[in-house]
Amino acid sequence: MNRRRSTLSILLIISLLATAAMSVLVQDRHDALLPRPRVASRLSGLDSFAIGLLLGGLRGPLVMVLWASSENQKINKDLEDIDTKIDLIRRLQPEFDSVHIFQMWNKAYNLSVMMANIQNKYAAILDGLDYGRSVLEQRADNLSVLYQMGEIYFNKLGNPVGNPADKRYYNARLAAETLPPLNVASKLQKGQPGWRRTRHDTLLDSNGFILPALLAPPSQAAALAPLGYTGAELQFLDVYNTPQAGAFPYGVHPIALAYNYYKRAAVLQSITAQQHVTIGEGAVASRPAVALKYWADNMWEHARRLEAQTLGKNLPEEKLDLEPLTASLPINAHFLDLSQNTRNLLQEALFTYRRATDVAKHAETEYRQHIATSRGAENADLYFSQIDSAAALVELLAADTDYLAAMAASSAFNPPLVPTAQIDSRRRSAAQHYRKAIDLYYFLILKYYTEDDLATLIYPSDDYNFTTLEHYLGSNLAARVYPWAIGQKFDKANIRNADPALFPKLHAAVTAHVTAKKLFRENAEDIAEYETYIHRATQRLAHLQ
Amino acid sequence: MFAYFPDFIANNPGLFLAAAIVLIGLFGLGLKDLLRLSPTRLWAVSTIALQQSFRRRVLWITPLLILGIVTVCQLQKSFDAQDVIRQTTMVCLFASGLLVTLLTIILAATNLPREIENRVIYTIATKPVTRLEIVLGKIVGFARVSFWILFIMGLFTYGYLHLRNYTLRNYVSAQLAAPGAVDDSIRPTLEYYREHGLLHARDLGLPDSLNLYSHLPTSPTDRWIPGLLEGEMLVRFTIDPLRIPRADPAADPASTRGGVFLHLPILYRSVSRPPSNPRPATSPTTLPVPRISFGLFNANKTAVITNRELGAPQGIEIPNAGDILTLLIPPKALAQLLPPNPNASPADLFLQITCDSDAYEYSMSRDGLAISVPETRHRFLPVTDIAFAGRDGAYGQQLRGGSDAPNRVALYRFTNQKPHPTQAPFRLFEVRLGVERLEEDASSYITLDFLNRDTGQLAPTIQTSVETNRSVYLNVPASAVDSGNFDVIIKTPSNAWLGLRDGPLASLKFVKHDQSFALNLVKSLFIIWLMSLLVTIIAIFASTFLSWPIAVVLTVVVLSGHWAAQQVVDVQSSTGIGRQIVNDLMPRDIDPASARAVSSSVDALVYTLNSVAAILPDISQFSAIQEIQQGIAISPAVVIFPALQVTFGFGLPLLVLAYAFLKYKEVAP
Repeated sequence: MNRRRSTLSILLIISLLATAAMSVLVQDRHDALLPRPRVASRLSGLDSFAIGLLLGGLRGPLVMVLWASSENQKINKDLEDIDTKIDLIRRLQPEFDSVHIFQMWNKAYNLSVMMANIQNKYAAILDGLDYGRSVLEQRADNLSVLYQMGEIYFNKLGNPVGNPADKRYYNARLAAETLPPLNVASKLQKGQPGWRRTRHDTLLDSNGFILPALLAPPSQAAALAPLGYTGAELQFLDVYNTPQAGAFPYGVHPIALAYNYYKRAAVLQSITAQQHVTIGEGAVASRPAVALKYWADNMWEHARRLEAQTLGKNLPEEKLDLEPLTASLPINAHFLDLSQNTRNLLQEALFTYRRATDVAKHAETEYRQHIATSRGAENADLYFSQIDSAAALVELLAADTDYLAAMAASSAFNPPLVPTAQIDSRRRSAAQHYRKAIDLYYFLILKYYTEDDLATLIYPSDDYNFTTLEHYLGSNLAARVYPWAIGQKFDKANIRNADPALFPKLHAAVTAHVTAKKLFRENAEDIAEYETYIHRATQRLAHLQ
Repeated sequence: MFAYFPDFIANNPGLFLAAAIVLIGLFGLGLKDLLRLSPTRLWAVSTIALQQSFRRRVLWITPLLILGIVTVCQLQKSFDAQDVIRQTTMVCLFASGLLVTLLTIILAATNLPREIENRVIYTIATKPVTRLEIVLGKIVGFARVSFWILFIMGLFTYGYLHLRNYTLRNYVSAQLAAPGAVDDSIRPTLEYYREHGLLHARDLGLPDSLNLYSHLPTSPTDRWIPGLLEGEMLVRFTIDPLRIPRADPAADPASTRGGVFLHLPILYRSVSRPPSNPRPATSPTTLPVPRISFGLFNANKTAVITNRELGAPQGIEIPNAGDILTLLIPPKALAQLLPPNPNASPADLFLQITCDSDAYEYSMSRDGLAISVPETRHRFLPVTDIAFAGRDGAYGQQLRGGSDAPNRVALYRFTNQKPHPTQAPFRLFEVRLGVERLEEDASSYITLDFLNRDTGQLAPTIQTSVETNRSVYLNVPASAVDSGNFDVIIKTPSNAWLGLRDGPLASLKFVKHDQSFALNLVKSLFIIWLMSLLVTIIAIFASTFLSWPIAVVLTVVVLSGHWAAQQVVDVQSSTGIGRQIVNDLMPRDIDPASARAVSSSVDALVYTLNSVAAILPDISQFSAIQEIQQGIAISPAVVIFPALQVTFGFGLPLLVLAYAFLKYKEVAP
């Protein structure tokens, strides 16, 4: 009996050792392809194998209990030790991307909304991001997790739906926390018991440049570097991290971070066999461009607000209401005062306009690159309007940058923010860009937002003749439209080839017809928005001529 | 089944059975052995069991368990320092309890069968050791094993928690000292942790009642609730069905026989809106007619009659102030609440009143409030005072705040809650509530006023920020609360909705005394030890007539049977659930015979499960972890006595049965 027992014990020990050895071999092979970074503590870095061994096969029942318990707690709004349970689920089910995506969303969305105070909501959202980082420590360059991090930065921090106050708070706070903290002592240690994430990690140095560690390629992604993926944490923000581009002196916007993680996911999808567990390839591939456009929009709004503040205007709530606020001010309009505070605001406004222009240009390029791929080409027509919209935005923002710079050069700031010698060149450049912006916005309206039946009716196409026009529009309108339309032949498909000088008249003709016939316009809101931009550009152009 | 027995036996069949087993077993079958019982021999048998267990190296498991606990504690994700202690306490005690339970089952269930199998029992059975001493000795022996394991784990738990407490207090101090590291909303809580530490055993005083009013009452009769269904008035009646004449099915449908009248002296008065929230210009200049909605519930809330059933879905208009609103509850409706039964005992009915228009505030007087029987004119008066409550929300009763409702208050009443006499100038209160809705850019905070009802002294208003389900600690001047009879008035200036609870989970608790944590830990371990004692008894009982594998299984089944039965049937009463299942789950056109078959089958299943649950021990009574992890002193009356009751209530009869089985078992030639 004893000999049999001893034999059995020895066999068991040998089996355990063999299993451990196989696990080490497999892990070494895995690390050769995708090495794991060192974790903070050996105990907290217990991997799935170790935990599975410790639990002796009870992993499955324990996972079931943890899921049921944590979901019940969430329903009952009892958040005590729920984070521990979620983290145990992560450790017990490390192979399942869907689990990680769910729990990241669970923390950043469900648990954060249970908090009353916005500071705690913010901390809960950061917890969701921390969960993602914990997964990436074990499974570097996981596409689904990277994409989900992008989603949290985009949808929760950068652009939360329905709550402008939350958006302002998150944007401002995160940007400030990416800069080095001013006076917080380094006694706060991540990983200590009771430590709780209350602020975002610092990403920048005191000059606003991304910390080198965040751009250093880790060794595990060396094989992918020739394909355009270094694996660095903020690889795709490096393009802005130069003195010429300006770096990030005012902090990193959450949508910028969203773009970085989306781009990492998109590039991984294109160069490896990874696919997102739930989202289609096209959506993953197009997301970086979408994020860039939104980033540009956010920078645009921020720049407008800063500009309005420097000029002593009261800030409206809605973004569109910012457009006419400073539109009619001439180049030599006075700023609020010549204080250091106003100077700083003006400096930030100029930088933000430049950054918004660069990002809008980047968005246009990103969209073009996307539709040049086989995935993007399938639905390329969906992106044409985005590309043209980005192009129009580039012109408008470039114009606004030059205009504000000319205003700054004309002001009495001492030392001047912009050399006085640049006034004329800035004026010329601004005028040029405003003209282009006006043309492009009219083009957008006429190509994408004018109803097909109106376009067929009013755009001078192949069958155009005066009699037909008179028949449909009546003699007065036809007489107004007719002179300049003679000899023109274009429709919505090829309106890009038309003389831009005709665009305002064509739009006016369409508008007059709609008014006369009291027609309903599906895209009235979008048209009104673009008309606002056109009006601003026109007013500014008037000051420049 | 027990209808023919005397009431006492019919109402307590389990107790009667247990007593019968003990009396017959000990004083009938085992009187001789009982008279020969020798503590020395008993202790000797227990020492053998203890030494056998130690020889099997059971104590060596404790270092492994300690290692496991430390490992698991590294995996914690806590939201603050107190949560670390809470989770560590839970892990330590849970692991200790699990180890002791599993070890006890294995040791106790395998001991006797092995001894019989190995014939070791011969050496004992042939000695002048009675079977009673063998059984008792083994139980005491394994209880001693549990004691030593829990002693070691208790020492470790105490030391580890104190170590964590020390490091966390230092960490909290560093956080508070670092400028900008702590949000203002959590600073008071962290300061409390720094000053008072994290290991507590608080003796909490709970409020008697929670009432929510549209404004602070100036007198006992000046109590009003707001409209818009934000407030409600609740009162309980006890109705004796035998005093209500049974309805005659052949009678005129308009007959009141079998029904009752509900008399409601509702008061209302118009309210002026605050200047910051004037009535919209588009509102009509004349005030709307005030209406109420009511609900009459039975005790289980399985049946309810509302104004909808009376044909007034929009509510019932209130007569002029001073008049009493009288409503007829027809026989058919009343039968849903009080099923006709010649043997029915008095039943509780709950009346709930809500009011619609926010142009008024509403009240109700006890004078004139009654349920009357038309035929006999018998009047049932309310048995409780009228409770003025808020609407039920996610976190309890909702208290609205901000500029729209600046006068709404919640009033907690404490009675006879005297603190432990000390010279401290301040007393500690714990606030833990929920914030349901918060307007943009608002932060959630509340104000508290403490009024000593005996002296009339009002303490200075305390303002504190709050977060959902996070404890906040307040220091209140002792003079305001030391008499033990005081009111706490809570308001929220934030544009928010708060959720407040009463009862054992009250959102406001008075910390009367902070006892020794070590003593609390001892109590908790004692409860675990009691559970291990019960497990030992059950395991030994099972091992007297089963082989050891089956004995282990039976022990686990007996321990978990009550809990399992409750998971399947989570009801207090077995009547009515069958009909409810048929109504909720079966197709509407089901034929009556099938419906009756389903209903009676479900009722039978429920009855069986409830009976099974009744005769199995309820291990949820061994609540060793809940209080100590919350930092609450374990109350002997509330926690320890129920555990003792279960242990000895089930343990003694099983012990006697085990003795009886062993007495007549052939263990030696």
